[in-house]
Amino acid sequence: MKKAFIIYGTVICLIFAYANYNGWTVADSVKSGKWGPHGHSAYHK
Amino acid sequence: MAGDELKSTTEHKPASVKVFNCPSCGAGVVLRAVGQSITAVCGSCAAIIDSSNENYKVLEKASKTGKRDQVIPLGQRGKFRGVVWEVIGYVERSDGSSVYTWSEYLLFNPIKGFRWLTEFDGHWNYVITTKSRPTEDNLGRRKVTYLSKDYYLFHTGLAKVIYVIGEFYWQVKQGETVQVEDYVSPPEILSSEKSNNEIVWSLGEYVSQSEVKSAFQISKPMPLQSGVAPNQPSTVTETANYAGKYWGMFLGILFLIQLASMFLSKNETVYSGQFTYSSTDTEKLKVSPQFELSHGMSNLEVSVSAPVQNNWVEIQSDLVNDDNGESEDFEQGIEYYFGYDSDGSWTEGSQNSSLVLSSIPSGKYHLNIEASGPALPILNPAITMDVVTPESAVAKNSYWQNGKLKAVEPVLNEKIEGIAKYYFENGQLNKEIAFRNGERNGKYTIYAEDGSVQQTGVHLNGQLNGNVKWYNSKGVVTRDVYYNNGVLVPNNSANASSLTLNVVIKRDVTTWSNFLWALFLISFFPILVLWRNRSFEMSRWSQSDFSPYYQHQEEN
Repeated sequence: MKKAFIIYGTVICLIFAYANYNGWTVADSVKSGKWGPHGHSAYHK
Repeated sequence: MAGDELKSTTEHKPASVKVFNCPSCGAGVVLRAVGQSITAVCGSCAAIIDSSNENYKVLEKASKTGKRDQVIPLGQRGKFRGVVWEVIGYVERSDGSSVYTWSEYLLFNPIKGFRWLTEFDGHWNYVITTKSRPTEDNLGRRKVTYLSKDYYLFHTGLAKVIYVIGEFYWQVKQGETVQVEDYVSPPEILSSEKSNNEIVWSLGEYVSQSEVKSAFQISKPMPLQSGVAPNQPSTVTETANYAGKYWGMFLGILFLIQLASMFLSKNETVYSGQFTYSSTDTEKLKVSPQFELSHGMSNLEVSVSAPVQNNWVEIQSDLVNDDNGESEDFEQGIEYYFGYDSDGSWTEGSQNSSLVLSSIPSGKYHLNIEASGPALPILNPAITMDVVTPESAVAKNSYWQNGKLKAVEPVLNEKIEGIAKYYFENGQLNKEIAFRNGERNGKYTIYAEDGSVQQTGVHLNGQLNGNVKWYNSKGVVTRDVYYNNGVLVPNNSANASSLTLNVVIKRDVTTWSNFLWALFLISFFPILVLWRNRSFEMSRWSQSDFSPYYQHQEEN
């Protein structure tokens, strides 16, 4: 278990470094958002 | 349990075994720790006999308590922790309520002295009397410290001897009751036994059932194990310790990588421009000049800002690679609202929106932008919808039943083209509507039966667009609203004559999203282990009146 966690953590760090170097971005993968009348319901307090 | 040290530490010769007759019933009583034990219990009649000298005086007559089927019989020898021990005494004790009972086996080795093996609910402890008295700390959570280690109070109560057999190094009595306090620091338990004239501290260590069974070659079934013992070591404590340690290490590495990425990122502006939408602008698609992306693969941040107020605009964009024609489409929205209510002023949203595109290769690009939404100025249809009836159009007339003209529609290529007129049954003009290509396109006017104008407006492709006004019989405007493609929109949008989008594109920017994802992934396992460890500890302390987890329940 200990060895598995060390390997797992190391792989995560390596992927993170590689992703940063190549400009990978995982946030907002669909590159869109819902806008329009449904997007500002909080306006009507 | 009382002190277990030998009377003389220089006495290392093997213990001699002696047999004498019970002065009460005459049965043979075996002494295995001759010279060490001071009381012996007759295995036949359970009379307690003074074995400190050869007079063998009866200290307590036989009790009515029956025989016990103890797990390890008296006289059984076993090699435990590298030392050969012999079971010479057995005590059963119960708590004050007599609900819980536990067993204590007195072990003897002529060199090492006395030890105890205790068993409760199938959990075993290997116990030795402490050499010094622990220091007590009653501030906050009650604990004691022994050999620089803290032990937390788990249980207080009475312990009463309910059955005894064998020989002992103190004067044992049936029914003898002591005040017990147990402090735990798994896998150890520190217990004090307080009687009228002394306090005895002993240190127990949790041992597995299999270890006991193997050491004393026990063939009969071991007691069924249930629950979690006060000092039972958690199966995940060690895992939790190293998971926490390596989690910290990986967190440090992630921080270093993130700092290096921030330091090395170029954050270079590759394009900055403005796109203006006006009320006279019929083209919604805007195209940026060409710009170049370098540095191989890297991310791209597209930031758009627009001065919208209590409104929103949606921007659909295409990043087109001019080298190979490939494009990446994405959407951004800008919405900004503000106001004032009973809690004071408030705002929501932002006039800026930015989005990071992942891993865009180098090359020459341009951006196509198309905005939509009520924040855009209303296209003024009056400018583009000046409709006239073509001379080649043929008038198609229809009539009321009374013979009066009902409608005159100019038709060209089987579609209405030009100004169509519609009449009331009395012949008075009712509507003038502009058509183009068979659809309502252009100005329209609706008249009342008295000939006054009732409503004016403009159609674009069959939908109301722009001002729609209602009038009373005196020609005064009673209502004035704005439509955009058939949808009623707020006045302030229509009042704006233009909306300018500011677009900035940056190459190789710093983001934190990858860091947060990596942090989540490396934290998942430690959190799971800590949760399991906590569940185990809660189960352990659920048996205690001094639980750090259930204090609120105790207060209730």
